[in-house]
Amino acid sequence: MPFEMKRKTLESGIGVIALEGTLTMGNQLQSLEWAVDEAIKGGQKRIVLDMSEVGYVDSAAVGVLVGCSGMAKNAGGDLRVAGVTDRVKTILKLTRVDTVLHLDATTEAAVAALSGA
Amino acid sequence: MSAARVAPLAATFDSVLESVDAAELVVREYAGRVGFAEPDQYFIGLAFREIFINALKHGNGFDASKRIHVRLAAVAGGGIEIEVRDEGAGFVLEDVPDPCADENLDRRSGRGLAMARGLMDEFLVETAPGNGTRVRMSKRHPVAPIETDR
Repeated sequence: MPFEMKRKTLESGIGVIALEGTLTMGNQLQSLEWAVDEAIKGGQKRIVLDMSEVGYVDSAAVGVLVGCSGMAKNAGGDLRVAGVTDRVKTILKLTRVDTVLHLDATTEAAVAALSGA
Repeated sequence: MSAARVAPLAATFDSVLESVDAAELVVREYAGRVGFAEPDQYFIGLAFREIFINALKHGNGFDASKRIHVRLAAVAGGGIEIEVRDEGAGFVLEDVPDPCADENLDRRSGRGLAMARGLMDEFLVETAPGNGTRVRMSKRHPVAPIETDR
């Protein structure tokens, strides 16, 4: 499945970046980083990455997720990763990155968590 | 063809990013032929991808004059053995930080080796400065395929 990225801003100001396809070393990771960086520089510090349609990640993608989370944190905000599949969750747990990322089962749960912050 | 009779496969790839997907597909198809179903094919493919990218990026440095050598074989009793060898400068394995250590969890890179090691049953890295790097890894089939005469 080719990579796609869609962005929207909720009424609350929370940004949702929905990803689709494979997230592996290459241009798509750069696009994701730019999108998060742009959102933060535009004042949007509460961000949800909707990964419910991402079927495949490699270690480079895991590094970018960690990096994006760090970008939001350093800006005084929060980035939550929502809807990861079981296979992707296996990789995140294998690398212990599940202990540093904020993971939510659904985008709705992630938005709720950011709204309560 | 029974999994036990799948012939070994050797392939050589150019040190370009475009080789990664093609090489991974070869490995996933071979894993299927030796009896692995999903999600094992997925995880075997991913483990291979990490090692192949290491060979491409860190081993051969995307040098078009260098190749990546891949060898696949069926394991007796059921499973797959994968070998990836680069023509690079080699490295000191002990110098690679543990990405799963608390102090390294927020690093942007360095997880490939650990991921591959965690996804396979056996994992061996042979490397030394000046000698290139060879990674051999294998995964056993959970249930040995049954051979029949039909």
